[in-house]
Amino acid sequence: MEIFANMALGLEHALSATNLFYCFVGVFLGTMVGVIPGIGPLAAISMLIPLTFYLEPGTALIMLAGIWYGTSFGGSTASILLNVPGTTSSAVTALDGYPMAQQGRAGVALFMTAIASFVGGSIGIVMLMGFAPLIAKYALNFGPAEYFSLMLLGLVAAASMSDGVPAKGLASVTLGVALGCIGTDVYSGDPRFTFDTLNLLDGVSLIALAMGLFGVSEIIATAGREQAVMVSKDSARLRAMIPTREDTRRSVAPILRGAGFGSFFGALPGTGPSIAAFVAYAFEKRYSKNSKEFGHGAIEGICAPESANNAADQTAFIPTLALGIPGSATMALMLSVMIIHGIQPGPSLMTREPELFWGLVMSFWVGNVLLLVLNIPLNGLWVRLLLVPYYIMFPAVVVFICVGTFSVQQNLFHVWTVAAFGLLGYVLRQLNFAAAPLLLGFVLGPLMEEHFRRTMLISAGDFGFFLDRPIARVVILLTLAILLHALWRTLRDRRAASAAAGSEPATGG
Amino acid sequence: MKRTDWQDVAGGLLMIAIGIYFAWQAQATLALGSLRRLGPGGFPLGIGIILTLLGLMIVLPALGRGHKSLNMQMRTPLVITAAVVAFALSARTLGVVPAIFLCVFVSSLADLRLKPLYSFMLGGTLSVMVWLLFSVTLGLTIPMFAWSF
Repeated sequence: MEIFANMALGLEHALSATNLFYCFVGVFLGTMVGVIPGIGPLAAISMLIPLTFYLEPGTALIMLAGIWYGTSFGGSTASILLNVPGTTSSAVTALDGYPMAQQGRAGVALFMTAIASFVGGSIGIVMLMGFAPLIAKYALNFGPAEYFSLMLLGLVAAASMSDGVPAKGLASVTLGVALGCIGTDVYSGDPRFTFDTLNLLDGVSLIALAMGLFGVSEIIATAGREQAVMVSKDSARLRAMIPTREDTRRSVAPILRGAGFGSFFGALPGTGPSIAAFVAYAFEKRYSKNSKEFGHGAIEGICAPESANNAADQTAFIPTLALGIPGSATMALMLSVMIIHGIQPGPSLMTREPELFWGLVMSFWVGNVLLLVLNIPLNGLWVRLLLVPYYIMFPAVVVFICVGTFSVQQNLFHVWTVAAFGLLGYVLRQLNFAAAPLLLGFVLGPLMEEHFRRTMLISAGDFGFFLDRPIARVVILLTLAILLHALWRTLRDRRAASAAAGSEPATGG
Repeated sequence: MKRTDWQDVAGGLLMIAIGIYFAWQAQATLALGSLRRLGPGGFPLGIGIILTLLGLMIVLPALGRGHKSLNMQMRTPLVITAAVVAFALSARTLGVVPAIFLCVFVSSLADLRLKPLYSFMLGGTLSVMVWLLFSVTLGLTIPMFAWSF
């Protein structure tokens, strides 16, 4: 069996002392970032990218991936103990987790989320191991037309499924693609939109853009606020950890269903852990025998979403690793790290770099076990961390962003870029534009342009070519369907809004 | 002018401005090529046009819809940006350690609960951490001070 040989190879790679250490660093930092509200996985991963330049590419990916799935673990801790979700994907967990904590069952809640997260994550990894090689094999004969249409689908799905007005999501993505055009044109060598500075010939620095958009603008939005939560040291003291037999019996099916929802939504472009957790929670609430308990500490209400978001964390890697097409902004960062390290992601990655691919996949197992073991004993530490006032934390983060950006090429122009994108990110946030689709567009834009120009070359300038190729046709039609749905949704909302405005006038601001 | 969603008007206009800039720059300074063989300007021109159209789709419906006024807080964004700029200005001329102190001091203005003495101590701690992480562990030759002792 080929898969066992691959798993053995991967495990050997993942268990080497260096990789084990960085896997630990990744999941530790991930949990920490998940606990602290205000710093999300995107900010954390962008801040750590500069450090990965000094690591082997495989090790770098193992660490960054650890941050990504570690945040879901940590996020649930903050949700349960403080009713403040550290990450959006754990927001629904607070609905039943916090009531459980108030009833003195915080220990049980944390224990069960750890189990649910582990089971969900494991099922997600199995899906990844099964589907990624299959899809990659199928994708080997994809041409530029297929790649272009798949990327278009990914961008449109991510833009119109993010919350808010679809047109604004699409504008965010398009702005990202436009920013991706800055730099030297690969075909002609002409500089584009560089404002005649040599610093922009290589394009806008991805690290500076991500640190500005997600690091600096996040700090601008949170600095100077009153601390919303008062944490007492007692929160960390957990008495009864062991769930009753009743708890266990009620949790099994929701955990498995949650993993199913998570695996599905994680792999799709545009959806991800947050949507998966939300759908899993809504499903349980609707169909559970105990639906009246939901919102008052139902154990199903924490198990299903936690299993779902961890499964989704893992299956999100399927399109990224098998096709080289990330479905979310975080995956776009992973993809860029591979490209920065000179690895070409895509269907041939598994055959060309088997240690890297299988090492990364097997490190997910290692990371999940580490999280399961670490999560409970470290809770005391996380609660103490939450006692550190934010007004001490945020200057430290600003300094780390500056030094990290500067360290990459010792070019201060990148620090200026951080400042610019920090302001832009703040303005976009105030105007209710999502910043994550922008990053996705920025990373995918140059790849899309390349595939588009290649397709046009092959088809002699005929757009009908996209519809002649069967796979590209299906994907393009799917993209159109999403766009039409978004349009329909906008029109429906407007009718509802104008009806509401008609009944109660003078709500203008 | 009560029935206008200023948030979306501003956002849409921003997108239109950027879209027009990209489209205009692309056709003014770059070769567009033909559909069969796109030049460097072809793709950006298309993206600029799409961005402009999306901006219009945001602005036009917002004109007849009320309730959201613009609420921009100026102090924190300016202070935090100034902290990053302070680092950018001083890291080369003074060295990284003075730049860290400046950066901490400026960003502490965003929250007055951070007293000068504490921000001085924070700057010191961060300098040591940065030195340990970047110079000792990673072996980078980052200029910690622009002068030598």
